[in-house]
Amino acid sequence: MDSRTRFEAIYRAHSGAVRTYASRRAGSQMADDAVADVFVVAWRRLDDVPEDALPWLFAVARRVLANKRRAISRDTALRTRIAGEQMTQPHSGSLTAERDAAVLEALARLSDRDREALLLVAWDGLTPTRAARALEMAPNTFSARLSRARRRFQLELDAITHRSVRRRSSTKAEVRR
Amino acid sequence: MSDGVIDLIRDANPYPMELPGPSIDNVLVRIEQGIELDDPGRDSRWPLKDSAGRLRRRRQGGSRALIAASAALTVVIAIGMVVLLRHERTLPLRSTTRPAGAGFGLRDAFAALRRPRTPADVLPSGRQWTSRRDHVDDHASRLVFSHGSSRMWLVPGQHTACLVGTHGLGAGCTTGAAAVERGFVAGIIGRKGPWRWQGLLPDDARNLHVAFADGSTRRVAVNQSGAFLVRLSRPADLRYSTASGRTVSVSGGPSFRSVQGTRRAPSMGGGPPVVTDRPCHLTVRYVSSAAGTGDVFSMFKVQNDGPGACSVVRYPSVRLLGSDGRPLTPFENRVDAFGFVSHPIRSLRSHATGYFQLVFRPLNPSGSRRCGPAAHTAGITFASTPEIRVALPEIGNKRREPINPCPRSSFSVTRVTRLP
Repeated sequence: MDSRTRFEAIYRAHSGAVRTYASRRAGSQMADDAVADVFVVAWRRLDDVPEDALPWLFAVARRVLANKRRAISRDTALRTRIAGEQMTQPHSGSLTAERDAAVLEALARLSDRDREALLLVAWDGLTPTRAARALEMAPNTFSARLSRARRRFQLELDAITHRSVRRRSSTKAEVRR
Repeated sequence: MSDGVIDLIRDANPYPMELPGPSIDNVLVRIEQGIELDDPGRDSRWPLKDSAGRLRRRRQGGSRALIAASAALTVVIAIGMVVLLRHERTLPLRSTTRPAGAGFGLRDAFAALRRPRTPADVLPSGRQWTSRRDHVDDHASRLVFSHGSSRMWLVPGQHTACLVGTHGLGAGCTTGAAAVERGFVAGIIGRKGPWRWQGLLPDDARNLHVAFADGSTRRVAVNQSGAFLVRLSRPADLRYSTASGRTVSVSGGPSFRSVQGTRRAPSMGGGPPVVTDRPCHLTVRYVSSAAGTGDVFSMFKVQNDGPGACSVVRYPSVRLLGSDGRPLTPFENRVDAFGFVSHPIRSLRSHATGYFQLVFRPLNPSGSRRCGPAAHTAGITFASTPEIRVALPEIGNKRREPINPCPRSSFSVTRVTRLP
């Protein structure tokens, strides 16, 4: 297979996944731009792209998004982006939306690495082995990180839920008064 | 993988379904930036739009028509790529008459290897050619010539270089040292004519012409990569001067077999064949840097202070030197340039100015740390000049606007253009 054919095959197979990856992390506006950047890198470094290209492409996308975020501003980091995307979801105000908002807030409180470990598995559907490749770390290291991230996420989520429950009960008390 | 936490996060996914992939056109436009393409392409998507190519084709319209017409007629007997006499292997790589600092590797000798690689540079699949065993690198090939359906690619290797043509143009390899010194030349004769010379000369070869039996001569134009293809109605020898001052004379004719003797040329100045003999004198100075989207764009100004025109037709070669005058970690300027967009210029007339940019990343991939050290001097080489050293401005003992690409990263250089 020559380079062109291979590049096109990779693009056909994975451009959707890379776009989704970028959209989930940086919003849809930045995603198409990021996809183009990722595949330009893939073309330049076609020899480096492994047979299982998706983790490699995610690794590049992560860097591309990091560069773009830096270029715009730190204020538009994941927290704002995710929150912004989520606010456009239809059922805001429902219990599900409330729970999702708490999940997103908990994710935003995690370190970049912890969050990325969780998202690669939960949102992008990678197995731990492939996710480890995307983060350029050994599978065992990734497993440890994932387990730690999961624990930290749970703590953050509990704190957020506890806070909102307290807020709700104090609001009810005020209403009764 | 499924557990409570992962399921919870999965449910909060703002894009639960995979989105369709965007059009590949966005990628192709990015790849296009900062590059030129010669290949008219074999399918609708490859290659990209080619404004530089259109201009060039307009300029080359006459010879293109001639070649396209005769290409259909010719059944070719390839007599061979050249190739140099065995004793050439013993020539010193470094000739004393070669412009100082010009570099002596293939990359320094052939402009095509210094520009970014493009889709057009990929060798056609299924093309069989020789010397694979000599560790040539197919993935570093560059398209050096394109006329109608005729194309030639330069394929470098560690100690070898090959010129590979489309069918009818043949293929051949020589040692890297020989390629640097004398390039590739092949004489090819159609069964009923016409005569044809083709090849690729290093940047600083000059005075390429054909000499007929009656003593008349005709100058042969080379393209921006140093490649040429000339068709003749009668037999003629091909002659040119190498960087070391040798005049190479290659005999044409049905019995053509090999390169003949050489003699010392009276004029030994550098410069590619497209440059006039009037001296030119380029000076380069650093202008300023600007940053954007993670890249730094450092602008350099080129001025010709000599009475003759200077060729700036190819990508400048840039070396970065540290405080001790030694080259910093070697960087590979292979990436596409996202610098200013403007038409590159071919030559600078007397007292004219042009600009080019160096584009690099000053931060490590995570963006947390500035890379170093910063360059104190830049060594810039054009095809027609020895290396020009440019001191980079400083404040105190620090660089005013540091040029500090990260080690093992790549930087890109744009062509010279008229406007900053």
